[in-house]
Amino acid sequence: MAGNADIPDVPNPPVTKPRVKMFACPNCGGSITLRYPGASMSVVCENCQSIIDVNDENYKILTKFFKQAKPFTPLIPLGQRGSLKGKTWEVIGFMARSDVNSAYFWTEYLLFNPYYGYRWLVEDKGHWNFITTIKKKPESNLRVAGIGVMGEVLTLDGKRYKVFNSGRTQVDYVIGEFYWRVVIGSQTNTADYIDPPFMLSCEKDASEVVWSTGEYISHKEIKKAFKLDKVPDPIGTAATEPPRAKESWGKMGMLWALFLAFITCAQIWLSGTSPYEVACDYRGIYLQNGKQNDQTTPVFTLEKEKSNVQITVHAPVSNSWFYISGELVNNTTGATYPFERTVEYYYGTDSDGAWTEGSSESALTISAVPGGKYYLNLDTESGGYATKYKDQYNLKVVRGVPLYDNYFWFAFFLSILPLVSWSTMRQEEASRWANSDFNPYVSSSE
Amino acid sequence: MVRFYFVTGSLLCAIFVYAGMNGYKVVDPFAVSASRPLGPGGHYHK
Repeated sequence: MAGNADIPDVPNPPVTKPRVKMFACPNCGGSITLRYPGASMSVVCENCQSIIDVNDENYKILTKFFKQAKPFTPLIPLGQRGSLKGKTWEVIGFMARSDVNSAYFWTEYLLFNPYYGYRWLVEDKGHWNFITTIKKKPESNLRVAGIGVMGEVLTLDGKRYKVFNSGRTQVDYVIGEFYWRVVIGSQTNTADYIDPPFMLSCEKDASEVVWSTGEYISHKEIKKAFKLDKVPDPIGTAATEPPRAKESWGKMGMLWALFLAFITCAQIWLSGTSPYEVACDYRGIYLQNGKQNDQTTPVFTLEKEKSNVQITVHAPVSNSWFYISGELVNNTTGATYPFERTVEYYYGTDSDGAWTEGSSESALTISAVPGGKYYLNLDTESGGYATKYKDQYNLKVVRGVPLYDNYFWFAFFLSILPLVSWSTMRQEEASRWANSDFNPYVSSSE
Repeated sequence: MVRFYFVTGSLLCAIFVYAGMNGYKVVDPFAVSASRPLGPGGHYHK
């Protein structure tokens, strides 16, 4: 794709009716309409598809065809005008191109505005890009002679474009008129670089190197701009499709980090300011291998308006168990908080050696207990003892212990959406790069 | 989705601080289960 340079922006002038020139095709005799004589250098006969040099006074035939072949039909008819990027453009040419090695096809529409020159609309699997040729040459991070090299990143106007594809392309089909002498089968080396939704393309042949920038345009915008009845829906993810999931993940990741930092700081503060006051340290009697019911502790005070209560039970168990069930009772309101706990500890030896299991201590936390006067009603039971004596157990009530479970649960809850967003972003990017020659999501060993 | 996450995340942070200050265990799947003696079973070796 060769092209003309940018023309400075001026207020959008009205597009005047072109000075149409008509002549007979030197090959088939059919009528040829040249929409922009003086600007176009070649035109394709709509009847026989022969390409004619319009700058030659005898209308020299550049490429001759004897039978009509129309393997491609433009989605936007030639001569159709539409408004894109705030300017009116007329479709004057259409070509189909392909990769020489893979026979991968796409189509290109040449747009013209007498005041702004030429632009291209490139359509590939329902995805559209608006292309403008530029005079500037981007800077490469590599010092290599060729174009489209692995790891190449180009910088232009503050944007960084990663190499996406490179190869050799050829012109397969043309209709309309063009600003150069278009030749069917002509080949160029090309390379595409992307910084979605923007792209940078390079076309290189023996005589010139042409750089152009592109920007993704939705098919709905194309349909509206050119007043088309129907435009095919896009298939897959295009190289320059706006990276919505990536942008979403960028914001989401920042919020995720902020939220995690916040609850971490809050957890440190809460742990540091927890009162951890022993409200009751009770020693009770229990009967080994028996039950001891209806024990009541002295009344104790739980300070603070509302906080948690940790109850820790310790019993001298050894290949035996101790079970306690009880309720924390508010001495004023009668509100109860039931609980039960087992302490069991076992040890022995087997073919693998010595083993142990359990502990002589167990704790539970009752959440959000209002302050006030409380006592405990307790029932105990035990088993597994070799003797049947009375023994002592210890029960400690602590007010306001730091809770770490909440921190991990909230960190988990706060991570669900960011992980979904990250996964979506990965899928989108993997889909985008699936058609690339330089896919970073595929290891070189595959 | 970002706006939704901003709102829900802010709400979760507020709940976290409120729960921490008032001693709430927001999720406590193990405390609701009964605690009965199990006897030796899944022991581990020293």
